[in-house]
Amino acid sequence: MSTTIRFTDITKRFATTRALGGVTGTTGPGMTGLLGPNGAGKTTLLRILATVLAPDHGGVEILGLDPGDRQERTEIRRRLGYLPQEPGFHPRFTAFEFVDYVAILKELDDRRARHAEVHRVLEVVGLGDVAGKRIKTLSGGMRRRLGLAQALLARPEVLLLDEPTAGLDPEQRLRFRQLVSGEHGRTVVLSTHQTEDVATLCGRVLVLADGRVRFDGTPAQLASVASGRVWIADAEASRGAAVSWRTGDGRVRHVGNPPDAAEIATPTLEDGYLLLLHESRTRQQAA
Amino acid sequence: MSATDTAPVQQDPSPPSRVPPPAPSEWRVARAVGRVEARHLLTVALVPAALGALMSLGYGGDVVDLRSASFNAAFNLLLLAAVTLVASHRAVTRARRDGSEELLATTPAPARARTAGHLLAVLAPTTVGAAVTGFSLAALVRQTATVGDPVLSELAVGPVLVAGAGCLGVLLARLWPQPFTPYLACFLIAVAELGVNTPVFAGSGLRWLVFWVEGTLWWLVPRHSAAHLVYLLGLVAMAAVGALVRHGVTRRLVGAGAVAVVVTVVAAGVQMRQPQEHWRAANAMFAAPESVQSCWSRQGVRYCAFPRFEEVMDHVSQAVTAVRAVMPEEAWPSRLAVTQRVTALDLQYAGDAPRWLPRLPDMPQGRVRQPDDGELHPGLDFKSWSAVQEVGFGVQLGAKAVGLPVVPDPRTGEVCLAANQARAVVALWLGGHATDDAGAGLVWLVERASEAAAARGRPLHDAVVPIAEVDVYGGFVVSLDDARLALELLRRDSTDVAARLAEHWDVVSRPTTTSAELAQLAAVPVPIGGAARAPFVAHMDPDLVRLGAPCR
Repeated sequence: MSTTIRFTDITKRFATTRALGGVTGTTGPGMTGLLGPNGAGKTTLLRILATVLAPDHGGVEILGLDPGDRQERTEIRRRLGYLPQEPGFHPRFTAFEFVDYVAILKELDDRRARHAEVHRVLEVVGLGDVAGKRIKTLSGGMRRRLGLAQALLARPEVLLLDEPTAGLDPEQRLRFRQLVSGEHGRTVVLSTHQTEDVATLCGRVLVLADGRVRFDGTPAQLASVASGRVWIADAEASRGAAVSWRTGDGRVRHVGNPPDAAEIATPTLEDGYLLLLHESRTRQQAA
Repeated sequence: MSATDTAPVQQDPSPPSRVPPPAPSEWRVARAVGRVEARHLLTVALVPAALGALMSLGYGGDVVDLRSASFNAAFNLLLLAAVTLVASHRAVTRARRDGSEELLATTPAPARARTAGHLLAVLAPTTVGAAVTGFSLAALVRQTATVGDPVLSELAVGPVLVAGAGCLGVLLARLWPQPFTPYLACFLIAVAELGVNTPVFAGSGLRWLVFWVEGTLWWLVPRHSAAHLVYLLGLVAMAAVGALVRHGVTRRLVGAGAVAVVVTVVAAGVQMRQPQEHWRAANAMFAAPESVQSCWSRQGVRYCAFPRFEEVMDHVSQAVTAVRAVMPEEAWPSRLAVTQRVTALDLQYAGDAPRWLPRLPDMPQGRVRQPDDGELHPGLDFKSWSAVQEVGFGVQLGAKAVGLPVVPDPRTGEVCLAANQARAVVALWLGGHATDDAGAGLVWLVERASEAAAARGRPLHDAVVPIAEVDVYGGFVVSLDDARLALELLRRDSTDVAARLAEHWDVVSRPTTTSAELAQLAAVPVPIGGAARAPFVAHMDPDLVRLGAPCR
């Protein structure tokens, strides 16, 4: 697999808060999920990759280019699509006007071609028939898709999506998956809390916690972290369990050490993720 | 969920293009941004532009001096300029307000291209401003008679102010993006404008350093229109360069900024210069007007006008002809001269000019009085301010025909009381023919005198009517009843009245003939009649004119 994005030992601090503390990784074509709890540094990492922020230390290389160099950074931006966590729309613009505005800034200067491209991406996200509506009249889901539309402009080679499914209902999330799963040959980095999205879409997953990479592998490998440590029982609590919750059928799922009279269950990516986080925290507390 | 919420989405199957298209220049991005932003600026510019156009329709009068109108044309665009300043600032800071700065920062177009786009967008309201100015001028020309030629460099000031306001809005947004900034800037500019557009600064070259300068005294205070325009353009360029420099200094920007500064400073210096020859000519207008006037004769009347005001005298000449048309030939003065003088009306915005214009020692201190030299002295303006001015001039002509004094006594400032004198009514009637609006001016004077009497609790019968105010004070006043009789005569067929007056001219022009006798001769209802017991004059400046003895 060719490497599209490479980041080496990058650190970033905001005042006294360490957002990233020596993060290293690579991604290539395909979808990479970025999982982690709130404050793990996912958004900071994405913003650095999107060339919004510069790292305090460490190296970043995107499409073989150095974002620290002005000209190369511009070239990266030409080939990059980015959906921030909160894109911020101009409410008085129509959907078309907003995407068109971003298209202009993406240097699509031929008016006719640009308008065709704007219509294309709006159609792609299913907003073709509300193109003329003001953004303030659109629902939250539509706005999220509008954000995705602008990210898809000019068919970027690298797509960075920060919490793209946040606030979407299950049906909308499903449609989002349909949309991005068709991307072949493109490098997509997806930051999310939704382990389902990662399990469904990503061939690779990075888990960030406390500003460090805690896991780098496939979703199956992340699930296997919890292999032999997921249990189904009737008992409510288990002292050795990392996390437990009652499932829809009334039984209790435990991740970690088994409770009494428990049956072993097949681990999911979410189980592996939760166990990983738990152990990470435990180690940190012990340290 | 709306229908669109459930609309199907497609996969985006197209692979990313591996060969990116050649990057356009920053300039092309700026132009595209400018087009988008221009549309948004236009939507907010329409209302103030429409208001500006409407304001221009309110101007008027029968005759408009296009030079004066050119100087003041920018006033109609001040609101548009203020709105453009605020709208530009808000457009630039929109991303900050709406939280899209991060998204826009990841696009390849540099922030400088966006700023340049916002600057280009200012051309839209500027064009609207130019259209409003053109519309105003066309409306003036269409609805009124005009004198003089429009001054293009003054007409351009308004649109340039709009452009400058827009560029200033962009600059302020890049320096201080806080929401209150443009409003504060508008307030400060308004304070500066109001402060400088007062007579206190009229004699100072500093006056021209503000953006818009009121031009009523354009003929008196030297004004370098072209230099002021260049100065404003320099400021616009400085604001634009300043906004762009915020994103980094380039050699080209430094060069442009340096040129803008030099041009602005030079133009500012030129416009503040006060040429001596101008002051000499201005002083001559007061001290020795005949030395700078050109004269000509028309239909036996000698006319003299100041340079650049010859066209005004054409309208005065028409008033003379109109009065003459209803006057018996025998009554027409054998020798009539109409010589322009600077009047109180011309200096009404000059206030205590000698104090702030030390270069005008020959300008009259205090009040302007017309000389009692047997000539008629219209001002620099005629038929553009009020019909009172027009009827006043016509009555002076009538007074000369019936033997009443044309101006107050130059030594005492007294006007004689011509109440219940037929000849005074005749003079008023003649004056009412000076222009189409002169009769309306007389009506206004009558109404005002009536209101003044009521307001003072004085008997209506005692109120007397000065034949004109502000500009031309005639040498006599009439009673309210006399004025009403004159109005009644004006309502009659003028040919018939003129014939009756001509038939009895010896009688009606005699000082002893009463108003009641005139009414009988003219076959109109007799007014209340009789002289006032305690006559008083409302609305006359006691420092200038005082009520004297009955006219002999």
